[in-house]
Amino acid sequence: MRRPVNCFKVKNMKKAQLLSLDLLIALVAIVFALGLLVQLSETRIYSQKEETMQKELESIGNTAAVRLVGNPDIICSLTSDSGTHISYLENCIDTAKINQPNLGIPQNYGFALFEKGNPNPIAGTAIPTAPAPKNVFAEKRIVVTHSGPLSKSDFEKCLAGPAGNPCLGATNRLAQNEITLYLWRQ
Amino acid sequence: MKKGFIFSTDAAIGIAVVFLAIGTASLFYFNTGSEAKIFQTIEQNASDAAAIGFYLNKTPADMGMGTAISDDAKQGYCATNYTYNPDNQLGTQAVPAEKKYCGKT
Repeated sequence: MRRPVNCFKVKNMKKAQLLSLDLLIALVAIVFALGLLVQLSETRIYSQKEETMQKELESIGNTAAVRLVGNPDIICSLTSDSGTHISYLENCIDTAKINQPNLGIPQNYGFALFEKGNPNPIAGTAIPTAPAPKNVFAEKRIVVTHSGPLSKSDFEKCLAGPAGNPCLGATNRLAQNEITLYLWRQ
Repeated sequence: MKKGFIFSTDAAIGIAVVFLAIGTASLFYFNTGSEAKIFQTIEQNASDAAAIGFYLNKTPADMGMGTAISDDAKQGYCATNYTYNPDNQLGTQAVPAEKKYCGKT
C-alpha cells in the first residue's frame, strides 16, 4: 500500500524548528495590520461622532436662520391702517421678539445674534471664550429691522421711496441690516 | 519569484492603486458637499436681496447682486421680485416689471 504524501512536510527544515522566516514575517505583518485596523476603527468612530455633532449643529443653525427671517413670532406684521393684521413680511424682523424658543434652538445650545458694526449681541449671549466652544456655526442674513406692526400706508412709502433713504423717519424706520447668527453646543 | 519571498512588487503596486482610487473617490465626495453648501449660500443671499430690494425699492446693484448669471459663472442663482402697484384694480392692472437679483461664484 502506498503512503499518503504529506503536503506540509518541509524537507529542508531543521529538526525542532517551529517557525520559518516567512511565517514570522507574515505574523508580524498580520499583527501590524490588526493594530492598524483597530486604530482606523477608533478614528472612524470618533470622526463619525464628530460628524454627527457637526451635522446636528448645522441642521439646528440652518433651521434657526430660516426661522429668523420667516417665523411669524419674530417677523413684522403688516396691518391695515386701522390695525387689522393682513400678512407677515419675511426678512423684516422685530429684534425685540427674538429668543431661543422662537428660533427653535434647544436648551443645550448657545446662540448670539450680531448686527453689522455692533460688537454687542442684539440677542443671546456673547460667544464664550473660556472654554471656547469646539465648533461654532455662523450664518449671515440680510434683513430689515422694524419695531412693532407695520401699517400698509407706511409700507407703501418704503416701496415707493428713493433707494437708500429711510422710509419711515429716523425713529422707527425700516432699516436694512446684516444679522449674523452664531450657534454652538454648550 | 524567489522561494520564501511573500510580497511581490505586483501586490504592492495593486495596494497603492486601490489606496489612490479610494483617496480620489473621497476627495470627489467631499468636494460635492462643499459645492452644495456654496450654492445654498448663493441661493439664500439672492433671496434675501430680492426681499430687501422689494421692501426698500433697491436695485440689484444696490444690493451687491447682478441682473443675470454670466457664462463664466461656476454656480449661480437668481431670485425675482415684481413691482408693487397699489393703484392696480381689476381691468386696469399695470404689467408688473420684474427685477432679478443674481448671485454667482
